[in-house]
Amino acid sequence: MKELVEYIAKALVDNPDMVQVREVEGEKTTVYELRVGPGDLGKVIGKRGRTARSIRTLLNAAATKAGKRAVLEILE
Amino acid sequence: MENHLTESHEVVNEGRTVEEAIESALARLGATRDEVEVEVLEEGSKGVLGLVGAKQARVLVRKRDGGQATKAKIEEMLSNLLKLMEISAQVSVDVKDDIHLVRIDTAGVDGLLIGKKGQNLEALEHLARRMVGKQLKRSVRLQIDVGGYRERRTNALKNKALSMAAKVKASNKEMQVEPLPASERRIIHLALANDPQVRTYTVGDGDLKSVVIAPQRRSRSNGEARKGSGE
Repeated sequence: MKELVEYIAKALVDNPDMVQVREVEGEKTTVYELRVGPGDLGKVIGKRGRTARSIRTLLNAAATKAGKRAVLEILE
Repeated sequence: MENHLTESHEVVNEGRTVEEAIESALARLGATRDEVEVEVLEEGSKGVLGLVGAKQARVLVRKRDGGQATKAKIEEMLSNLLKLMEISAQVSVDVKDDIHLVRIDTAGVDGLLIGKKGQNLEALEHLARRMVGKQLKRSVRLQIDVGGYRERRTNALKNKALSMAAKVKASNKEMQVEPLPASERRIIHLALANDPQVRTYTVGDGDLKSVVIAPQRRSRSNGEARKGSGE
């Protein structure tokens, strides 16, 4: 799941090397904290948040399949 | 302005006019006019009396690859993405009228990729467009279908548009279709474009706007007619 977020984010940004994903396991839910390089925030958020929403949607689909719950947090 | 790729696919070139710039770019690429796409970066101008303020024309000329590189990139990225989602699937791409039609066939988990009202499919399509576009440094037109969903959905939306239009005509009152993504609103608009008795327009904000089907001739003008706007 972490690799999924990483793969998508790296493909979207100007600075793939600056992409970091941290996995924070909770009781029921796993939080994925995504950090990107300066200037790349808009790339992973998109117009009206469409890209961020799309990443969340796919993450949810993948998590559901694995019988888990996942949350994506995009950090500045 | 030099291109450092060993096998150059695109060059930026200058010339006195756009045509001249294109001509010499073609020579550098060793391509003919119909093998390339041209982007005019700077129109160039002769200036006043050809003396003052003359500006060089600048063009970007790119060899078309017949969609092969784009196709390969789409297949590669979507396959990787699906693998990371732990979905085993076949990805195939056809190019038609410059649009890349992607077909994904999964081993029994089509529904997961489609999602409620196709929202997972929309998300996948949006990301694929962004990711591939970013990698190729240009915008890519692509549409993804999973297990024939698009076709079924298109037919369902057409039927819905027609039956709602019939109701609108009978009641002479406008009706609103549920919020839909742009590609699906388009199907509604197109389905009714040739019906002189109704007109369609869009209301709402964000990605999911709604199409309103309205009677063409309004019984009385009550200011409602100007509500909403085009796409």
